[in-house]
This record gives sequence, C-alpha cells and structure tokens, in this order.
Amino acid sequence: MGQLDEAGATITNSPLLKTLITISLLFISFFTIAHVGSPGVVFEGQAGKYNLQVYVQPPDVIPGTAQVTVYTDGNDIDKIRIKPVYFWFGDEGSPVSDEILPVAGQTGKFDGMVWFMSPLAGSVEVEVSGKRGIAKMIVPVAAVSTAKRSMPASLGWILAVLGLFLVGILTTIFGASVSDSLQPAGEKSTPKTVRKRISGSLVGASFCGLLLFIGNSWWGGLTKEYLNDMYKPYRASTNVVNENGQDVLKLTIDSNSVYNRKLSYVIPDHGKLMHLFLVRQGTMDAFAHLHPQRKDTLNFEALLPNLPAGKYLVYADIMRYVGGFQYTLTDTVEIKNAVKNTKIQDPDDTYAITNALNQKSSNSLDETITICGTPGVKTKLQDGSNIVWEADPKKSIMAGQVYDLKFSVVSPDGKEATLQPYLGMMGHVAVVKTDGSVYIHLHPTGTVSSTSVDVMQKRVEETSIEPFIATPAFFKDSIDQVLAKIQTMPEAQRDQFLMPNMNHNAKEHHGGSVKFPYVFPTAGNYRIWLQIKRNGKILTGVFDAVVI
Amino acid sequence: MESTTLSPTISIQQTDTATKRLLLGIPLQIYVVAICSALVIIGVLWDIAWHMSIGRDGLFSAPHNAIYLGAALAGIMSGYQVLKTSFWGTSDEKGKMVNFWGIFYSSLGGMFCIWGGFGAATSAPFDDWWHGTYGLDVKIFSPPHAVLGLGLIAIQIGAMISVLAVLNRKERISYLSDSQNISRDNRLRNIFMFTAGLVVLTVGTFLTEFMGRWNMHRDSFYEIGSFAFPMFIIAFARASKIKWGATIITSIYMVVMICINGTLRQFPAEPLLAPVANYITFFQTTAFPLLLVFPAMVIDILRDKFTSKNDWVLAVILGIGFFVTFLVVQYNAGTFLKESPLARNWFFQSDALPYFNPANADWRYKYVDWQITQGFKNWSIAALISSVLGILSARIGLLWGNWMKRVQR
Repeated sequence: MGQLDEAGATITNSPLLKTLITISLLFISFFTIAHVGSPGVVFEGQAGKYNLQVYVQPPDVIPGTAQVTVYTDGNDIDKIRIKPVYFWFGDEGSPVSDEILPVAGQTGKFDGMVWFMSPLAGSVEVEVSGKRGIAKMIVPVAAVSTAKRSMPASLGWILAVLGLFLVGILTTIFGASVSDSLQPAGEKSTPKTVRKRISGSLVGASFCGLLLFIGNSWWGGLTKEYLNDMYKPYRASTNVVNENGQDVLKLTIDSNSVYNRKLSYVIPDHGKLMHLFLVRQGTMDAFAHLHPQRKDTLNFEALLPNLPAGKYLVYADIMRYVGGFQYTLTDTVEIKNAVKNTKIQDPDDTYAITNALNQKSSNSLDETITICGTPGVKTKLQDGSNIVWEADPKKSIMAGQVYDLKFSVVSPDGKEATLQPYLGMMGHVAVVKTDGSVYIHLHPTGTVSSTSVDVMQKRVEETSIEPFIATPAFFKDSIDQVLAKIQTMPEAQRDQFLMPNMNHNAKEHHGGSVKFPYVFPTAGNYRIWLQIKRNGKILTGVFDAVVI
Repeated sequence: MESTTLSPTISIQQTDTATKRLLLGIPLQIYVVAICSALVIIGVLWDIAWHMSIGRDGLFSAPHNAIYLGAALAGIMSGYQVLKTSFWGTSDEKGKMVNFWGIFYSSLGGMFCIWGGFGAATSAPFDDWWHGTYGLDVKIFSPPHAVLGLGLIAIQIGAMISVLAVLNRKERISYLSDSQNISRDNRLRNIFMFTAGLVVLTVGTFLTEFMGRWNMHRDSFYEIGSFAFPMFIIAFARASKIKWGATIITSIYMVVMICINGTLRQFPAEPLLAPVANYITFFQTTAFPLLLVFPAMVIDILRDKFTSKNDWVLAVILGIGFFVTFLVVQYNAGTFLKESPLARNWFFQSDALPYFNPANADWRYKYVDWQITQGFKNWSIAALISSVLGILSARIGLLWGNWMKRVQR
C-alpha cells in the first residue's frame, strides 16, 4: 500500500536568482509525530491548585524557539516561569527558568518563549506562583526539525546585489594590489601598471569565483546534513489478509526507518501499545479505532471490524519510553470486500458508519450508523442518547486559535448522561482533515497524552542528569508482562490502573459534558470522531467542522 | 617604476594644529580603523565566550554590537574617506590613493575596510535567514559566519595595510620636528605591529575548534598550525622590517588575547539554554593563546641568520623551523595546560569549559585515547605533512611580505 501523499506549498524563484544563490523549494512536510500536520501542542490540567491550559507552538527548525501561551484560571497569579526540560538531561540539565509576561488586556493569559537547542524529546516546564501557592506542570513537546525553507526572492535579490558589489570590490582590490597601490604617491599609471591591474583583476575575479564555488558546495553539504538530521517518521505498510475466515489488518514497520529509535521501548498509552485509526478515504463515512497486538517489534495485527469495502487512510499511534515521544505511522489500505468477521480481538476496538461528506444521510444499514453533526445541532448516538457540540454555529472557527471542543451527552430520557472512562479517559477524539493531511488523537487533556506527561514527570523527579533505561530485551519483556496483567483486570480495576493520577478528571467531565482543547492548524474542512462510554457501551459521535 | 625601499621622502605642508600634533600627522582614519580592528576581535572573543557560557543571544547582543560597531565604523570611515578624497580631495591627496572605477580614490587599506564593512552588512540578513532555515547558531563555521569572518578579517587587514602604506611612504611632516617625525614613524610602526598581532589573533580565533588544548597531542593540530600561522607571521615580520618583528607581533597576539579573555572571565554568566551539563557562574573563554612567540622567535633568528638566502631556501628553513619549535613547545604546553592543576586559574584558564560539556568528563583534565595521535609512524607522517605545509606557508608569507613592504597607497 502506498504512503499518504506528502503535500505542501512551494515558492519558486526566478532562474537568475537560482544561479546566484542556492535556493531550494520550500515545503512544509506533513510530519508524523503523534499527529499529522498538526504541530501545535495544547495541554490542560491541574498544576497544584491552578487549572492551566498551555499552548506551545514548537519550532519547525532545531535549534529554534517555541512560542508558549499559558491560560490561567484566575487573576491571582503573581508570576509564571517557563523553561525547557529534555528527557535525556532531566531537570538537572535545565537552565534557569524565564518569567513570561501577562498579555495586556487579557486577564490570565501569559506569553513567552522557550529555546530548544537539541532535536530530542523535550518539554516545557511551567511554574506558576500566586495566592494558591507555587506549582509546576510539565508539557511534553517534540523538538524536531520538520521544515525546509527557501530564501524569499526579495532577500535573494538583496544578497545577490550585495554579493555582486563584494565581488566587484574584491576584484578591484586584487587589481590595485599589484598595480597602483605599489606606485609612489603622485605617480601616474603607466601601460605596465594598467596591464598589471587587468591581470590582477582577472586573478581577483577567479579568486571570487573559487570562493563562491567553495561556498556553494559547502552550503550544499550543510543543506544535505540538515536534511539528514530532519525528523524522519517511521514508515509502515499495511495490508488485509484473510486468516481462518477472518479479515486481519497487518501492519509492518519498515526496519530501515527505525534508525536508533529501537521499537523495544514502545510503551502502552491508555493500556494499548498501538491506537490505530481507519478512515475511509474520500467519503470519510467509515471509521474504526483499533488496538493491534504486537507480534514482534516490527509487526502488529488487528482483527478488522465489519467495515465496508474501500480504500482507507491509516493512522497508527505508538509511544516510545524516551520522553514519552509519540509517533504516528501513516499508510493507506485497501479493503477489497466488506468485512464479515465473526470474532472480536479486543473489546475496546470500535467502529462507526456515518453519512459521506456532503451527504445528509447514509445508505448503510449498519447498526453502528450515526449521523454526522455540526456545531450546536443535537444528533443521535447509537444507544438513543443525544450529543451536541456546544459551539455557536454562527461563529466561525479560526485556524491557529485555541478552542475547547465541548460535547454534551443527554440520555434518551432527557437527563444529563453519566459518562464512564474509556481507555482511562473520559473521551477520545480523532480529528481528520477531509483531504487526509491533518490527523490528531485528542484527549480531554489536549493533544498530549497523559502517559507522555507521566514519563516526563518521572524523569524530572529523577536526580541524575542521565536517565536510567533498561536494556531493550528486558524493557520489552517488562512491557509485555504489564500488558498481560492489564488484560486480566476487571474493567473498574483497569480504569483505576490506567488513570491513577487523573487530577483533571473533575474538570473534564461536568454533567455529561466533555471537552477537548485543540488548535486547528490550517483552514479547511475537518471531520471529528468523538468516542465516549455510557452504560458500558462505547459510542461514537461524528461532527463536521469548517475552519477558516 | 617599482621600488621596494627608496620611496622619496615627502615634505607635507599642513596647517599646524594641536590636533595634528597630537595625531603626529597620521590620518585619523588610521587610528580609527586600528581601533575598529581591535573592536571586532574583542567582539568575536566575547561572542564565543557568550556562546560557551550563556548560550542564548539575539541579533543585538552586546558582543554582536561590538562587532557591528567595529565593522560599521571601519566601513563608514573608509567610505567617507573615499567620497571626501574623490570629490573634494586635492591632487596631492588623490596622488596617495588608488583610483578605481574611474571616479573613486581610496587607499588600498580603505578598500579592504569597505569590503569588510559590506561583507559584515551582507552577513547579517543572510545569518538571520540561516537561523530560520537551518536553526540557531550551534557552529562557529557556517556560510553566513564565513562571510562575516571574511569581512572582519578584511577590516583587520585593511587597518594593517592602511598604516603600512603610510609607513612605507616614509613621509616627513614639515610641521613636526625631527624628533616628532621619528616618533611618528615609531607610532606608525607600533600601530602596524598592533594591527598585525590582531590579525594573527583573529586567525587563531577562527581556528579555535581545531587548535584548542584538547587537540595539542594530535597530528592535525600541528598540520593545521604549520600551514595557518607561518604565512601571517613571516609576512608581517618581513613587512615590519625589524629584526624581532615576528616575536613582537606574536607577543602582541598573546598579550591581547590574555587581556581580553582574562577580563571576560571576571564577569558573571549563567547558562540560559538546555541542556546544561556544566553549571558555570562566570564567562568561559577560549582560554590561553598558543605559544606562538617561541616559533616566532626562531623565525626571527633564522631570518636574520639566513637573510642572504634565496626565498625558496629560506622558506624551507623557516617552515621546518616553525614546525619543529611549534611541536616541541606546544606539545609540552598542552600537557601542562590540560593536566596540571597550576593551569586552572584566571591566567591559563584551563578550567574553562562550555556549559554544554559535562563538568566531570574524563577528558577534561587529561588526554584520553581519542585525543592522542599514537605511534611513531603516525607522527612521522604528521611531521612530513606539517613540514611540507609549513614550507609552503612560509613561502607564501615571504612573497606576501615582499608585497607588503612595497605598498605605498
């Protein structure tokens, strides 16, 4: 199966500029670091007695700076300080924190900047102090180079003109050095000095040419080096095979894309090693959230739910222990015939059918059918309850702004629904742009998994500058044992196990409502799949959003 | 006609003013560009120390401003001189300048300074774009920094050539007494030696990554050093026309570097970038200079002893002489600087270590295997390469020195 298409904007320059300055095309690649095309990090949670929402715009080139915005829940904040913390160096390897300043006219909002110098699993530590004491929050951030830029034509021309001027003067200097400058004061040029000046200038021009050639080669080499150091996603291929009358989705990670990021260090997130989402390409009317089992470090398998035939976008999230760094593997897979499996591999696997894009209803007779909703409009869920996206349909959703995507569920009897944890969270959301170029798996805490936060938090609590990490084999074996243990737990015990430190629980679930802070990265049409659990049944709500 | 020594003494009728007496009839531009030359290398050493100690900087950090000021002042001063001479200058003044592009008149040194100023100006937007495209500074060597570096060294060479041209003209200022004219010559020579020492310092500074104390037991240290330094030291010594020229110039290099780095070390500094592996509280610097004064002394002695030899023969003598002395002195100095506790003080600064290097690294105070070139064979090859490079460099230096002796404008 093919990889998802990479796409991006390009800026071209005139041919002349290209000959003067090495200019490469600009493209912002759709990289896959726990998301696709959605680099902004939003995290909401409790820091001591404060409820904070932190929005980090990581740099797309490392070393670079991340813009950090902190929204606080009161006007009793004295000071907010932030600093970068790397997994590999811990709190001990962090510099002193910087105070960030309140934004004028916006109570409780603070803005600042953090420098990320190394392309490693990083985080931003936010320290808040005020009447409710001093408290800290850690927000994992992927500090990786993902962008390749060209030089703007205007700057190219300015540099080209300056460069030509420099070549002109240097050529003149060479000419003058061997001719006029050696003449005693007052002496006029002679034909001999003129000849020398010309030959000197020719040598100077050649020298300039040589310098430019060396400089250009050097530049090219550094560009290559940068491209080598850019973030490289794991590559994966998927296919569907029929084994013993059951359709099985097989995912294989390309070992050539692993580099030194050993997959033995993959850890469960919400109790699962992999969260795999399938979305039918084009119509986006079929969706599944699966949890493939690990066969070995490179191979994962899942029994498919009864999805209709078609070509599907595949987004599979895994997390490595190192910094709780999350990765999304992408591919497309063809399901040739409608799946008619009789077995279920994982009771937490779900799927849903809805109406196709631009259609008001679905032709499917599947019992999981749900109609796609829009902001402010109540729609029915599979169990007869209703869900509404609490947003003003008259207000446009803007790209680049933090929104709380808030959904409320009402029981069939009209009362507020009581929601249960699903995989240790009060809800899961998958946001996919209709062209497939944006994908993200959200939780009520935001774009960051609480597992990532736990990993970084524990790392910060360590006192050594170097982290302790077990050998790959030992680590993998330990993880397998934990997973086996989780499988044997009763549901209530498992939920407790998966969410031991859920300080944000109370905030994320108020009377059948659950919210997900998120920043839509670009304008366009998005489809949102929301998954919640009520009365032991996992329900999937679907919504369309137009972002400008 | 080309003369190497017999430029006519020129008597200049000038208005006798206190300022001119104070300046000893040396153009103000000479003083200014010499100061600019110092300013840029102070800025560069400060900037390196900043990156070793604090890490985080902006376009207008204090060291950057020192560099910009030096580059801008040298460029503007030289540009002003060109416009003034070209459009309002007397024929006497124009006669001391190089005519270029039909209408402009400038000293050769001034042209270097203008080039340097524009080079530095070009590097600023280039570097800014570079940061956004390939990341903020992590390396000294990058194309925009190379443009800046070339610009800065052009300013320093410009400052040196400017003063050298005046010195070579052997002018006698009529409104100065004989003793003042002698003082004038001495001052010009001193400024020349000073600016030449600064050029050596800049060359050494740009080679910091290869020429630090941790490299002093490696073959590459001597190969790079044997090529990089003789050409400058020998050229400047020959242009100085004094017996101990190389010794004095390299002494200036060492003293200026010790003073700058010794001063920087007195100021507090705290790392502001992660990861921090070495919690320092004051500026870490490029530490102690190379002991170039010893090979320079040998160069001076050999120059004096073999003055009658053909330049090719002399190049062989000087090149090998430099390498052998450099190896003997610097190898042992390396052992002292790296391993002796006596070197861990404000003077030698062998405890200087960037914030991003681990404070307890095993290589901090001793040479570990990967820092040492082992075996007779490897050292024999290194000696051969270094000698050849030293000879080549010395020959370039002699040629360049001959040219420098003849510069008049």
